Amino acid sequence: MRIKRPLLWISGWLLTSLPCIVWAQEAAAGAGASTGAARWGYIGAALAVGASSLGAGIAVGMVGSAAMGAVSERPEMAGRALIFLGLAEGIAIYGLIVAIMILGKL
Amino acid sequence: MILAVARYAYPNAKVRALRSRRLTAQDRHFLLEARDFSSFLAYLATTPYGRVLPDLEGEVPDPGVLERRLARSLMEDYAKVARSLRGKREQELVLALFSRFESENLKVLLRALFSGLGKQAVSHLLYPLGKLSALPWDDLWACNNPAEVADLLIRNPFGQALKHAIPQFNVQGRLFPLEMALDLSCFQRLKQAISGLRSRSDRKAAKRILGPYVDMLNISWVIRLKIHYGLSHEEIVNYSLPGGELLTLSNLHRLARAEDISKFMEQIPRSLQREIGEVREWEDFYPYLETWLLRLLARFFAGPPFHIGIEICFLLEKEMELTSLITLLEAKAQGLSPDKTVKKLPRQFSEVAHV
Repeated sequence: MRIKRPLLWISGWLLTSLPCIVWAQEAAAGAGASTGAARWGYIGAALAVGASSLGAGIAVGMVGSAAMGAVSERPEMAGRALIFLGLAEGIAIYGLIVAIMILGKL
Repeated sequence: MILAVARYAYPNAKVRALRSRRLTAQDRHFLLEARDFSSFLAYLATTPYGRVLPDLEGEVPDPGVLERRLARSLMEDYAKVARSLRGKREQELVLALFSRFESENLKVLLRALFSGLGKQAVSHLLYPLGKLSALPWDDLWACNNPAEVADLLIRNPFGQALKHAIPQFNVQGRLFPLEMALDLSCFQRLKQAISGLRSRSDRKAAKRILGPYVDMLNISWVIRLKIHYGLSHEEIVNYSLPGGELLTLSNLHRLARAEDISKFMEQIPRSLQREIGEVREWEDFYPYLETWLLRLLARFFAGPPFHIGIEICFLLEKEMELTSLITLLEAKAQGLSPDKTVKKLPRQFSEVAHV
């Protein structure tokens, strides 16, 4: 079980980030940008979105489960729990903004 | 770390939400200062415990009946905490802690069998265990003697412990060996559950909480067995609970041999002596020890959150709040003044009770 869990995490990360890299490379080829800098830029943008979405997913999973625990006992806390869920979700948006900034430079 | 967060996010949030339903300083003040038993109950009905109280209109209920009704709140919290934990081993620790209440009900059952009473006669003494208890209670109540109870529970640690104590029970003709066997089996199970925990931080936290708890029980048991039962020091040490943190076996021997309270105090480890301060009467020990343990539990809530200790702390804290409430309830039923009552309660109960 101890060996399986890190493997699960690594394979999850690879499954999420590899397609992003591939798509970034395809986009770079499609746009006709053959320079190395542009390729790395697309890869960086893809990684920013992919990794931040993964991070946001983990954060929402944890904050969401904690929110469920608290709300199940004190329903009046639902509003406050949603704020924290929103903060966790914000991580993905930061990644998206960074990706847009990278793409804007290319 | 991230795995611990994922594992404990849900149960910790639930536990902290449950903990917010503790009695407030205002509640404690008004309960302590209540004029009489009926005004005490009227105020209690407005607190989170009001949910488990019977209908208070009409005849004032018996304090004995109310004690077990109030315990329903604790039993419900045990079920909620056990369900919220994901791992079987973590659940086993909560169930091992819960088994102390099963053992109390088994003691009532054995006493009823011994005195020839039926379930109806003693039902008010039983903890409302609910679905969390997996023991076959209907079959147990159909037994005719302790040996049958031991046979029925033979696959359970309780059954094994009873089986070993039956010869002593037959020789002595009293239930004491059986009752002690039940208690010891609970704490043995608790010790095994701690060492069976998966993560090192869980094991460490559980030991740091339950170790002092066992020490507190061992000290109060030494006093009880020495003063009230008059047992020899070898017997007292034999009946001490496993899994303590501060008290060693030689400490317990010396405590059991101490002739008076000042010598008894000298034998308590210095770290604990500093915490509990000056104790002059035997009956003052328990509130002082409770004060010490409550302080220790409160420290855990302020520390790192992602370990099983938070759940255990909450359950012990709630149990001690219930014990204080029952002490208060009995004091009010007997018409004791707040000044006399407060001496029987942990300091936390009175310190913040001035609103």
